Amino acid sequence: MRTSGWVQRTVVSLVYAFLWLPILVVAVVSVDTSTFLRFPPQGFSLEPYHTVFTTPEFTTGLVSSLIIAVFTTVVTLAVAIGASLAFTRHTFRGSGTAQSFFTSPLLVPNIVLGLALLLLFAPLGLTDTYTGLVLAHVVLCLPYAIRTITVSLSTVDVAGEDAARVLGASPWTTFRRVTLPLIRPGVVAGAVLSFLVSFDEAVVSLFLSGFDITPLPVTLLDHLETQAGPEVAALSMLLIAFSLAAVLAVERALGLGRSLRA
Amino acid sequence: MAELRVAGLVKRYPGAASPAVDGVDLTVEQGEMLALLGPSGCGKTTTLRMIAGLIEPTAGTISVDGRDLTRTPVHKRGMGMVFQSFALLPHLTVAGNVAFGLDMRRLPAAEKKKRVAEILDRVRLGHLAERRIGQLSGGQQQRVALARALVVNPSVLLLDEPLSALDAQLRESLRTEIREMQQNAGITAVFVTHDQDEALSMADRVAVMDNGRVAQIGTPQEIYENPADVFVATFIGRANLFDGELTASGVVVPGLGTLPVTSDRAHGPVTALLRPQAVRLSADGLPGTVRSASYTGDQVAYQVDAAGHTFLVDTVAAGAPLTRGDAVHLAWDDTAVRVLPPRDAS
Repeated sequence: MRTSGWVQRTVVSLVYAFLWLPILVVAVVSVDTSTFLRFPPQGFSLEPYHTVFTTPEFTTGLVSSLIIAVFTTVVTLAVAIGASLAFTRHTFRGSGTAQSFFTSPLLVPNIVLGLALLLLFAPLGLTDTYTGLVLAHVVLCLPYAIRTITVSLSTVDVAGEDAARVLGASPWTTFRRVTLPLIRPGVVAGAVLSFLVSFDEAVVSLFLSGFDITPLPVTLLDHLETQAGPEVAALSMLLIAFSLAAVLAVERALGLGRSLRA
Repeated sequence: MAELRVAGLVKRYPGAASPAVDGVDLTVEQGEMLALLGPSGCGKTTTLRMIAGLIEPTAGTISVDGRDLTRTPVHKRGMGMVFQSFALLPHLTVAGNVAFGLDMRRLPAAEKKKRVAEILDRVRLGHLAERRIGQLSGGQQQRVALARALVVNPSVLLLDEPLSALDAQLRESLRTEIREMQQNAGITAVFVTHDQDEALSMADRVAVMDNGRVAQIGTPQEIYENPADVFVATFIGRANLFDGELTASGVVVPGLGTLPVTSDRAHGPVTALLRPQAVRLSADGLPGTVRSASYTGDQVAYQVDAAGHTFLVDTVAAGAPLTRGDAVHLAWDDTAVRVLPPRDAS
């Protein structure tokens, strides 16, 4: 028993090391003094972080990414809540098909999806527009949001909604005052995941952006090709910190672990 | 404060072999409590949910005080409903749950507060107003649900198996409580249950349902003493049933002879009913042998083999109960025998 506990702890530690060491490398590199990426670093400076905030492509990229992520989250939630309600509360012809349709983007490689969306959006004039990028990101985020929201919905006792309706609540009021508060954990989890997926997405965006709008991950890729300095590592660290802060804030507010399981 | 009338109510689900509710007619008088009693799947809950407006009927009408509500959406019917699962809103407090219907009616805050406090006191939960629902026991939760349904002064109170989720002792006390509140408020109520004791003890009238239809409707006493058919007779209470032939001299039962009763039913095959309480152990009469005895303190329920039949006999316990194999004689008043349609036909 003791030995197996020891073995287990070692394995878990190794797995964590495997996951975290690369990030540690990036963290170390991000405070290097050189003008190119190298490891191990040979000095300490916060200059790369300063560079991040003074490089216009990074700041505009950040703004674009935030705009896209916010709109993507809002649209995703609206569609995902509607779709989840339909899937959990009604069985209609083709509801199974529809459900797998909404989750299918998970199975398609992003590079294929990116190409497909490019071919679809180009004739419609949607490439290199916020509309196009948000639509593409919504497709990518829907599977996650629908998943978390349907799970939340399936735990809600429908009788509560019935009771509210008998007491005089219209369908909309019932949704707003009963259903929505009860599925809040799933909605919040879906929102966080959507925001992070969109904020982090590079492959599909690469196909759909380039001149007018360049989301931050695409900027990062471009930057890496031309002048890969420690500021790239610094930016990566900032993105990790940002994502972590978002997750922790939600975890603090209502427990993301619970939301994802709920 | 209203009379509820249900006429020709039918619910047919697509793909189902037979309708869930198949032509139900009910009239519930002002202030009356009607129990819909039946086994699971008999259509009683579907009927109740159609009255509430939660299920759309295939055919038929529902009206309150002559006003046709069949097409009125659920939230505009002004009814109150209590659910088996309590159906309280876990994100609201006790007071929040009770106030929900008043919020929907846009009552001024002061008035709302007063009515919530009043009704919570009546269900003895005033001190728990600010509690979360999850902190209450099952019995307390159902009292909150009752308060929530009653605080809006509903035209009709609908109760869907309100006591089934509670333990036996609590059921007894809540029975009385629900009945008292309903009578004090003079509110028209429909109560769905599969528990015959509950139906008989709480309701003014009972509608026994079977296969989507009302098999019989009447006061608890009428239903018990004069059941319309074998289904009702066996669903409510225990019964000795004898298949026989109705003739001019009475019901001829193979092995038992003729039970001299009169009936206006057509001569031919019938089933005779004799309640276990109507059978006595006596000094003379039909000779039989005790097969089993079950002593419950105030009563002894015997099974007695006699004349090729097994009789259920309930007697008031007096002295030592008889035991298996004892010889006894059975007697009963012929007026206690009821003549029902033959078993197969029902």
